[in-house]
Amino acid sequence: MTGFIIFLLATRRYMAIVGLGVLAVFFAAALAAPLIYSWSAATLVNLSQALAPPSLTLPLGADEMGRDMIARLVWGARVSLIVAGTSVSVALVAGLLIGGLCGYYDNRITFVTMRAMDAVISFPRILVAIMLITILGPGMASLTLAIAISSVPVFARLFRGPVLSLKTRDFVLASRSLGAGDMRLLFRHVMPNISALIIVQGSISLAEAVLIASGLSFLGLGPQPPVPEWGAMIAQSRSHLMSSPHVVLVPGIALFLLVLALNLVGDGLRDFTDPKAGRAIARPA
Amino acid sequence: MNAMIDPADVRSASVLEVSGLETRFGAVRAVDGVSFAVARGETLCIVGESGSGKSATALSVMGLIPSGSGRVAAGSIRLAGHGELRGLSDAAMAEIRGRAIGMVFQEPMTSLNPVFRVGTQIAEVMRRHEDISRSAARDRAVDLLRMVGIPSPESRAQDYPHQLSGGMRQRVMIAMAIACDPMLILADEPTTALDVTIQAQILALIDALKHRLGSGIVFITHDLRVVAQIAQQVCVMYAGVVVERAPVRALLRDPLHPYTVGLMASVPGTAPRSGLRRLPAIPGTVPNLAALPKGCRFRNRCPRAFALCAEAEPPLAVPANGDPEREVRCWLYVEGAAA
Repeated sequence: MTGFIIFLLATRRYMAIVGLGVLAVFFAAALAAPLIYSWSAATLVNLSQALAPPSLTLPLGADEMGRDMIARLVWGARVSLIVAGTSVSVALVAGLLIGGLCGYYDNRITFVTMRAMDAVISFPRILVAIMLITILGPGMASLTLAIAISSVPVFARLFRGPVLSLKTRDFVLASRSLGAGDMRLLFRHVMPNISALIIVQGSISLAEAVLIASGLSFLGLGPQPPVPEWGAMIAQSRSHLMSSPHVVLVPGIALFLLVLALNLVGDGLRDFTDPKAGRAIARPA
Repeated sequence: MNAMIDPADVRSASVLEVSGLETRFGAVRAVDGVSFAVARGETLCIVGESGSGKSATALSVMGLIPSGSGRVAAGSIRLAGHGELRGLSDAAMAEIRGRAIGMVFQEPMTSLNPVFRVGTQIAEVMRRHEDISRSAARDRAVDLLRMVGIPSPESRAQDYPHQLSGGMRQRVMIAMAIACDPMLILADEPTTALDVTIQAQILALIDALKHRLGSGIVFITHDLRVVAQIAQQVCVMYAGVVVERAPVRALLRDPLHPYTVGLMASVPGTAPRSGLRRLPAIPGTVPNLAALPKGCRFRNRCPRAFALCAEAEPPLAVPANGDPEREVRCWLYVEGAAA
């Protein structure tokens, strides 16, 4: 982490540092949400302050149900980060297993598996997710699962390629000659060689997952009211866009900032892990 | 450990006995009936040009012929204390690899995993085969680095492979191969990718380790000067078969098979010669191993071939009126065959 920040400073990648900062704020807010605002502050209806504009007591105003926007915002960050983080983690593990095994073993089963993955990729991800939620029923858990499942084929295909080429490298044969079996070779010798790819793809996928989660919630397929999800907040308040724009702008800008920050950090990580990005230290040929 | 030692293994001093080994890649007979034995503390060199089946022989012994493309079709591979290796399950072979047999490869630049420190990689071999703690394995990795002649081994153990030179990396590979005190070391052209001074150091190291560990060594090379430095016994391979087998001195002093003679003639000398002289080469190339011609495999390149050579393949036999410790596969040395 410190190495990453030093690299960003040294190579003047200030946008990635800004992204890192924004991300830190969102993470802190999501972590501290229960400490600063109670769940009821974010969910209880108080019509006396409905659509209140930003003020000293309500820094970001209140929504059409009179709920404090800032409370809903930090709890919403929690929802978004949990959904995105969980779905990407699940998809990464599944994608690594499927991609790794299908790259390492070349037989009929892995061939059929990869063609199945290709078939899923041929549909837009959001369509796959909608279909899965239609089956599972809307909610936070099924939203997470739907996003995870819809990203597995992308990961599997991405990770299969390097495994396919790494398994023919001399060091794999050398490890085998020293007693390593298939599983040890794949997971302890080959997989660590694609850790950079995993980290970079993971961070960029997080941004995608946040966006898809909000999109699906906007359509009413995510966590149900009164859970404060940014996409759902935009959807519920959109009729007040003209009279009280803050109710739509606040979650919208938050969403924009989070996705932007994740992308900036992802770009920075890609440069950080890419040997051709002009790093001072020598890297393996 | 080895409670069930085969009495036959104890009687013979051989660490490894290979007999009638045949390895095929589809129709290609890469190894076509090869037999040899290595004793403890002995270095056997397998010499031959590219495509003669040297590496395929080593990979067959290790059970590392890729199952998709090739297989060991026949023969027996016996390792002292372990019996027959052919037909063992992959899991059983994995136990033997790295513990009883260590292997060193040709390409030190790419044979180490680029993302782990070399000390970790050496420790990994011990942790795979022995019940040893992480810190004890790390300490022994440093000892091994010292044993293979790497200066300041404590700090080198913390290096990644790309921070080391080719010679250093080959020393690390050797340290990994001997980490579990193997009784047999297979070295597949371990010095080919190194420059000559480093090559001499690595050869000296392998020889010193042989004396220290008492292991048998199978050393594969195409370089007769390396053979002269390191071998006790030599097998010359051509097109998948052994064409000559002899103690190193006898072979170098008096090569019998025309192929061996050609190999030795094509070693460039260092002494300046009178005038410009073309380096002699053996004309032609190794025959297609998928469609071998009838008779001797070498006859189309052999300066001394005669009628019989085209009709039948000569046996590998003690030369007529020759040294009983030698064997040669050539009709010239079969009594009554030569015209």
